[in-house]
Order: sequence, then structure tokens, then C-alpha cells
Amino acid sequence: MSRPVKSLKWRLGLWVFLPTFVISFIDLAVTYRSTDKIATLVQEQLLKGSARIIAEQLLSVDGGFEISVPPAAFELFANKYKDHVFYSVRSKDGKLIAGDAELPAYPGQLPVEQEEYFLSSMRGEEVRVISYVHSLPDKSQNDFAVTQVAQTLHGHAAFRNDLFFLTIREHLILLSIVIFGLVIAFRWTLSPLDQFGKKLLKRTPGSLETLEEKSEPIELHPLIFAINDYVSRLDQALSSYEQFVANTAHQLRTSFAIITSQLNFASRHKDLDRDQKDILNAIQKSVSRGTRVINQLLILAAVERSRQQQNPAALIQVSCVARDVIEALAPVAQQKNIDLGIDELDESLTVAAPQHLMHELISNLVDNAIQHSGDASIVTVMLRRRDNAAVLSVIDNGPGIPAAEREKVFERFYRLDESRVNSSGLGLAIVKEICNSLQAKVELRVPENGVGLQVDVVFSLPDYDRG
Amino acid sequence: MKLLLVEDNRELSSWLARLLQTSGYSVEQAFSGEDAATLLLTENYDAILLDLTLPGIKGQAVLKNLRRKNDKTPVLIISALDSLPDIIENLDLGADDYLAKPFDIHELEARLRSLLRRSSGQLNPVISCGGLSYNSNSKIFSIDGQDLSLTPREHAVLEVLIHKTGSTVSKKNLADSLCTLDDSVSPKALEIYILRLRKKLENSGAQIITLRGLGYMLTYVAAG
Repeated sequence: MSRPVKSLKWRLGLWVFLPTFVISFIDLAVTYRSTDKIATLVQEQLLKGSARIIAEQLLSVDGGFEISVPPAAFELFANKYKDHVFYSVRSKDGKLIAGDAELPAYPGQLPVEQEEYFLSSMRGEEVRVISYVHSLPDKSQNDFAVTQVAQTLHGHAAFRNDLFFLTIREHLILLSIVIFGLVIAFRWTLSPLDQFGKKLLKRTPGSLETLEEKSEPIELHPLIFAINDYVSRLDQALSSYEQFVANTAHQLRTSFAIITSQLNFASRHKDLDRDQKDILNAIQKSVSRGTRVINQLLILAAVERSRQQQNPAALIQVSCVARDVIEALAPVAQQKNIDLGIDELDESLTVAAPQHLMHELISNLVDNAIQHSGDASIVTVMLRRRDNAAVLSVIDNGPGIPAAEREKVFERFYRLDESRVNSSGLGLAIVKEICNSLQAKVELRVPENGVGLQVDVVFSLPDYDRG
Repeated sequence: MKLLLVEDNRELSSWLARLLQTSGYSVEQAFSGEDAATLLLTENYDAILLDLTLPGIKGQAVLKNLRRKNDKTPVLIISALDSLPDIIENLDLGADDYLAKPFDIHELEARLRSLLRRSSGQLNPVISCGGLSYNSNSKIFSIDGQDLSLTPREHAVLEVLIHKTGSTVSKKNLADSLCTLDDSVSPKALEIYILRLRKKLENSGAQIITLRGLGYMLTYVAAG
């Protein structure tokens, strides 16, 4: 199933941020309406105050009216928004007593001592108008006047906007606190996830170690449980596979041991002619080759197993192992009349590796050189320091490996020359496997003199031995 | 010399027994750990050849029991397991040597001779390499029973080499060992002794190999 948002952080962030944003938006819309209402209320109070002041000045003189409007009635509205104020006082029958004739009259009927507010327009501008119906000062019954005061909406709008912007500012502050908090929270809460990932990455390939649950957050426990379960099932499968390999190897070795002893017995016979001796030798050689393949397969299985063991290997002196290997392979080299030897063997170089793996590694390299370089060739082992690495080189002056084939020769059962019966095609595969498990690099090249093959194995040196 | 051969594969056991008998050993066979334990209660052997993967009582247990009784009979493990950790574990249990299957009878007999020599405290002072033997009491080299005639210097060189069969001896060490006979030996002279020795060792199976940069090594080289 594909999800549009892959990142957990983004998904969580969106789910927190989006609702917050929507709620904030709705709240702002509501706030806008209420600030408008507050501004209107304030304006209405002012209009009412002004209307009352004007109304109180109305006098009834000889059946007529007299009014002197005090400045205070308009000072109420003083603000910096250049609002225009208009007023009108009309008698019951609608006759203008004072003020602006243009100010439209309230269209409806109002009881006495009541006011009403409405929006209208005046000289092209929108105004809020109060229409105040009041009795005359001499309290004569059934007589009343209508005072109207109107103000443009500049101040009203400015007041409303000020209030509204204050609210927007609060919301923005709140939202940024949420975002900031989310970022911090992600960093802090999700860091165990990152660390867990790094820990998994650091595991050596093929590691079958179970993971510790305790130190990890509860949310990761199902994942750890699943990984551990998988690893233990893998371990069982591998164990039965290993058992199978071990049993097979044991059976084959025993069979080969029987054939070998039968051959030994046959060769001790006194009256063998030359042909019979040759045949026995040939069988003996075939058996040795078969044994070699079995041993190499077992080594491959063992190398894979040793990669799963995490305990660090002790430091070993590579030159000693190289010397042992050369001595062990000297008879084989002698049979093929090969000049086997060393050039430079730096005895100070130590590498962290299990002794038997190092032995197998060098043994396979030297054996490979002996098998493939041809009779009477020269095979040389070198161990030198190069920068912060120990470089083990095995050089021969045989046919070498064409550049195009150099990667393929590390594949199992790959043979450069199919007609060559001596090769099992496993030697360099073992070399590669061991190098992988020792975190060493293996390189194939043409030796400096331009003939043959040079295999370099580059080991990184322990920290204290770095220049 | 009486040997106990503990091997559960009857075919292999019988062929090994036949082979060892042709070399003059008397061999008793046990096909299981139980058989071996019973035989070891009453019989004494000069050496035991012990397989590890046995039905019932394992070879390791037989070995452990033997050593617990303070029996010092030399034990040569013959096993189809041959990883280095296995070898170390079994040598720790008290085995004297270890040989992985399949093995050549010459190798087996050489190891056996060496074990018997050690356990009998130099009663059998003969060191061999292929057809070449050296009696360290009489100081005589022989090839297939025929005494080998050597000059004192050749003798000295070969003596050093045969004591280190299978390992290299540097030219310097070899030259040093000759200093008792001569004031100093030039590398050229040493090469000549080696050359002569090689001729004399022809067809014995033992060969002096030059390992360039390391030195000389006496070892058995099967006919190519």
C-alpha cells in the first residue's frame, strides 16, 4: 500500500498542524464578527450620547422650536480617522428644526424615548445613524421630536481592525509555538528511532544476534520482537543447513578415507607393474582433488558462520601465518617445480583476525598461484605496510587474468579455463568470503614487471599501529 | 607394538587395520565408544587411534575417561572434523596429535612413530622423512634401510634439517650450525652441500626445498 506521505514526522505533523490551522481559521472568522459587533456597540453608545446631548437642548418657544447645539455633542466623536458627523432634529411632522436636511429620516415609527440604529448613506459615504425619539422639554403631551446623529464608518472600521489584528497576532504566536514544539518533539521523541536504525545498520551481514528490548521505547517493541523472531527462525534454518553440510562432509570424508586406505594398501603390493602404479597414482590424485573440494566447501560454510560471531578477534602476526602456509605448500610447489618464496615480510604487522581464517586466506591465495601459474613458474609472497594498511601480496608469473574476467573469478565454481581439472573454482571465492568477513579488500592486478597475476589483500591496521 | 583402533566405520577400520598390520603393528578394532571403554578396562596398548564421531559414547568422552584414570597412552585423533577450533579443543582434552580424514597412510604412520617415540622416551630414536631415516643414537642416516654415506658437513646440514622436518631453516641458522666444524661457511659452500645432499636423497621421497627468502626445508614430497 502506498501512502502519499511517507515520513512519519510529516504525517504526525500534518495531523497536528492541519486541525490547529482549521480551528484557528474558524476562530478568526468568529472573532471578526464579534470585533465588528464590539466596534458597532461602541459607535452606537457614542451616537446615543451625542443624540441625548442634542435632544436636551431643544426648547419649545411660542409654538416654535429653538435649539443651540453644544460643541460637546460632536467632541465625543473626535478621532484621527477623519470621520464625518451629521445631525438633524425634526418635529413630529417631519419638519427640520436644525441640522442637515440630507440626513434621511428613520423610515419606521418609534415609540417615545426609544432609539433605533441603522445604516444609511450620506454624500456617497456609508454612515451609521441613530434615530432618537424624545418628548419636548415642557413635557407637553403628544408632542415629540426626532433627533438623528450619523457618523461615517472610518473609526468603526479602524477600531474593529485593530481588535482583529490583535487576535490574529495571538493566533500566529500560538501556531508558531505549536510548530516549534512539534519540531523539538520530533527531534527528541523520534531520535530513538534513528538510533535504532543506525544500530541495525551497524550489524554485520548475517548477524543472528537478537536485539535487546529493554533500552528501546515501547513503540519499537513489536518491531524488535518481529526482527528477533525472524532472526531465530533464520538461525534454525541455518543450523539445520549447517548440520546437513557437516554430516555430508563427514560421510564424504569417511568414504574418501576408505578409498585412500584401499589405494595405500594396493600400492604396497610388491608385484605392481608400471601401468598399475600409474593408475593407482592417478586415482590417488583424483581422490586428493575431491578431498580438496570438500575441504573448501567446509571452509566456505565455516567462514559464513564465523561472520555471525561478533566477538572481536585477537591480533595475530600475519608474517608467521604466511610462513606456515609457505612451508605447508612447499611440497606441492616442489612437485610442480615452482620457485616459491618471499620478497619482503614485515614482521611488525599485526591484524585482528581469527588465526585459522588468516591461514585459509593466505593458503588459498598461494595454492591458487601454484595451481594456475604453470610448471616452473615463480610464486612470491610479500607483506608490506602501505599508509595505514597491511598489504599482503601473492605474485606469480603465470598467464594472469584478463581485466574483463577479474570480477568473475571471485564467483563460486567459476573457472577461467574450463579444461583445467586441478581447479575447483572455489579458491578465490573463499578468499573473497574471508576478506569480507575480515573487512579486508582484495584487488587483482598485473605485477610491476608486467607478467602474471598479483593479488593484493589490504587489511586495515589496528588503531595503535597507524602512522 | 599393539594399537587400539577406535573407528565406527567397519570398512575403513578393517582397511586401516590391514594396512597397519603390513607395517608390523598388531591392531585391535573397536567399533563404538562402549567397545573401546570395555577394552581399555582390561587391555594395555602402545597407542590409540581414536575417531570422534562414534555411536553412543563419543570419542571425546573415551579420551576424557582415559586421562581421568591417569592413563598416558598416546592418543592420535583421526576425525572428519578438522576446523582449527576442533583441533585445539581435542588437544586440550589430552589428545597427543590430530589427523583429519582422509589421510595418507605414510602420514598416519609417521605421526604414529613420532608418538610412540615420544611416549617410550627415546627408546625408538628414529626420525623419518619419507624413505629417509635418522637414528639419533647411532647418528646414522639411512634410505629404505640402506646406510647413507655423508661427509661430516653434509651430515651436519642434514641433521639440522631433519630435526626440523617440515619447517624452514634459514641459511644463516644453517651456516651457524656448521661453525663448530669450520670457522665460517660461505653461502656458496652451503649451496654446494645442499646440492650434493639433494642428489643423495633422490628417490627417497625426502627433498630439500629452497623457499626463496626463507631458507631450506626438508620434507616429504610425493612423486608427482
